[in-house]
Amino acid sequence: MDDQLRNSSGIPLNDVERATYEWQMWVPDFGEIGQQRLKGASVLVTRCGGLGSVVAYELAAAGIGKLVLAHAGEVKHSDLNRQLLMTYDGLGKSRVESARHRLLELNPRLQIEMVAENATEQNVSELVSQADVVVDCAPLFEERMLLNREIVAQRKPMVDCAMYELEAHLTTIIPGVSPCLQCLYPELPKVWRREFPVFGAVSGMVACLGAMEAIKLIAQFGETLTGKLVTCNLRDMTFRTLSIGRNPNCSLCANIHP
Amino acid sequence: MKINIRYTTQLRMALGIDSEEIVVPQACTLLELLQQLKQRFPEKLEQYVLNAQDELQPSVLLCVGNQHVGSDLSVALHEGVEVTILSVISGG
Repeated sequence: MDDQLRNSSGIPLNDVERATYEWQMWVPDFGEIGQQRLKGASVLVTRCGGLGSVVAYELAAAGIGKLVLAHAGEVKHSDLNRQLLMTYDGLGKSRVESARHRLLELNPRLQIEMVAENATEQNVSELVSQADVVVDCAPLFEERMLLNREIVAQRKPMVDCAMYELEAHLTTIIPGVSPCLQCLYPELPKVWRREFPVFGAVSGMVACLGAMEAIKLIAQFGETLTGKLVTCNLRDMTFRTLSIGRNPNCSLCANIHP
Repeated sequence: MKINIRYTTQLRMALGIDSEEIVVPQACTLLELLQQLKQRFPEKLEQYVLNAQDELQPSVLLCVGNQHVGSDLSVALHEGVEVTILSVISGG
């Protein structure tokens, strides 16, 4: 894991923050030090869609210090069944601006860095460099693989969330410790279609799990999904945790050690 | 012997099956199991799981029990084991 994250004791809380986060600071192993670590941390959320909106909202609610939000485009009607940071008032306007407005209503202390672009070859290094943790919510494998390459290069942890119909997958990647996306998918998968069936309740469910992974990584408590893949099927409420291993021949991370 | 197979996401939608129990010969390997499935669903299995050369497609993860097996299709299966074919997803 990133040394800066591991060694962080966070930023001291003020009275308003103590009052706001009192109930979650009662969580064993989290406490005020965990809250301070959240306040001192930054998270990159790539795309604020059905997944990323809820990840960002939960992290804002939990008291994360800074969010870096990357998402291109304007709000459309078809966003509004699941992208909970977007509203009818925002139709036709910038998605990240709509996201910023909603997040600051919830947490006016939050620092937000808005980038009205999706992750690309040109911006991915700068995006990842601004964050302690990345939460990958991109709907295209090209973007996921790009983020994966960059977090491996910068040795940053990444929570990878994905969903389809009533199913979802979730894992946490720590370069050199757990399999990266390239370990799992050495070539770009060919069968994925950009548009997919989705209920907001499904993307929101896995987003909450992803946000909790980020919180545990930053606050350094509990067990993260390092080397594990959770699969969920809400059609029959099946949740499974599968063991996944690194690929010793991975072209990206095989030579990286903890 | 009997093997339980669980199909997920896009493959589940393409086949219209969540899971099934099938009978395979004793000492069956994962590759032999997938070849048997490919005989039943040639087009969809080739698209999602095993290509024309019987190599694993990059869009699939295979688990035997709760363990991901990578690209090692020589894994020997045993009576009653569950094989999960995870078709990759990227919905956000």
